[in-house]
Amino acid sequence: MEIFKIAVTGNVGAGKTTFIRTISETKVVDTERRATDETSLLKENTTVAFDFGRITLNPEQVLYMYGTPGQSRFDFMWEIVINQVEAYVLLVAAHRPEDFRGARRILTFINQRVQIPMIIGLTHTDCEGAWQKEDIILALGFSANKECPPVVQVNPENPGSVAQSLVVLLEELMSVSVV
Amino acid sequence: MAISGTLEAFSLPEVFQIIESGHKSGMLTFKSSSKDLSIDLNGTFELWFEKGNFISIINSLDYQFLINEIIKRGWIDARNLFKTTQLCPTNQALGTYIKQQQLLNESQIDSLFKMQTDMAIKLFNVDRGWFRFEDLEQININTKEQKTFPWSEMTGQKKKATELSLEAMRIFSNWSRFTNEMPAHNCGLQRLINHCNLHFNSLEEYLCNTADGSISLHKIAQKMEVSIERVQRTALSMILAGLLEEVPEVSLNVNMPANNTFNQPSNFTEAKNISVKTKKKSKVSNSLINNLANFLKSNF
Repeated sequence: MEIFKIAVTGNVGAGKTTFIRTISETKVVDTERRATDETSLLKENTTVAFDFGRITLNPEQVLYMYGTPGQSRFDFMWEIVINQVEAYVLLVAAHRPEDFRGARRILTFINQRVQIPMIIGLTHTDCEGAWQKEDIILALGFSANKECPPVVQVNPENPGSVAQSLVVLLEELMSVSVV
Repeated sequence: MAISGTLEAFSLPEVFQIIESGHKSGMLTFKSSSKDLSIDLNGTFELWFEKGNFISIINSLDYQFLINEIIKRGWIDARNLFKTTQLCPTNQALGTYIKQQQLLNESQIDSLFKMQTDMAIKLFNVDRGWFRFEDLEQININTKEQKTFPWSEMTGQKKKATELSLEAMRIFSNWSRFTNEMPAHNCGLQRLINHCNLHFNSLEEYLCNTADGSISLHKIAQKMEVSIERVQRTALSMILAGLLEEVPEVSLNVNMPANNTFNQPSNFTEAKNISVKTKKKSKVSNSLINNLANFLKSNF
């Protein structure tokens, strides 16, 4: 069986678990536990290991989706997940500028380890205080001198929106060589 | 949707980084909500930028800072200066015009601009407040006015926003507000940009030249014989300025550069280029990608 593995990463509350739940054919393996640290200010539960979802295309081909824990500091799970996948989605909540640097930290961490296709998915773009795409890109460390990956607006609760963002990720993957 | 927020959520160095890397022109409105402020930090400030460079600052309590300062210093008498301001073209910095008229010399203009940058630097110590950056074009669209740069408050000089930010952080004292942001002792640093022309001090230079993720801050402090707190603070200043990022230390068995690295030109191209990246070639077949794309397009 051919397995295509991708990761969905980002800060706490960016929408990773919802993103996977929305599109997975199976009930997502629940690794959420009650948050006890500063995360609890944002959400009651947080992912402590990783979320897992699946889309079976046919008996021979399947997509696995892994959601990383959203802790702001480095997590050994990031390393485990990112070394297993072919591509990833970085979710960034557009209305939480305080999280942009955390997202940049994740991005740098991954780029330090592997060079794989990725896209940036902006969530909560319709919320009050949401920043414009161009400014978030700058906050993530991209500029005219540093090529930016594709950036999409995504509503993790909307299956069509999640599917569309995955199509963009596939297009990005296609733009590099495939066997 | 302007760049806006509170200082608790997004620091001034980070705002400056966005303004510079986006080559933005416009006005950063800054209002402190701290209670224990010195008198000169009260009021609302307008910091002006042109193509990512700081060009002027205006306090809402003193809209004629430049003119008042020139008069206060006794460089030009009030009547003569008033006449000069009337003759200054509407799209020329007052400082440039005065210099052209040979009423002030270069060092006097430098001194005035330094006062403006010093005022901006003081704002970095404010820990509570809000900011809003509006692009000049956007201001004019929103207000249907033809707002321009504050020519009468401009010396004609400029400074890179990140340069100003680094200067401010070198004398920054309110580090307790960044306790949670401070890079860990055992972390390394990764360079985010390949080249820059900023003026670094010796420690900043060293951090840049060794920023490949292979050396922890703790080891750098030992090597440099400076306190770990100083290394952490300098590293954080450069992280907030968008120059470096904190990464877990990786083992590369490299020798640490000697201290004489300091004397090298201040740009990143001189640095060692060690990378731990492994470029993964995708093993996914075209067939799977096409099938998945079709599935996603037709089922959602």
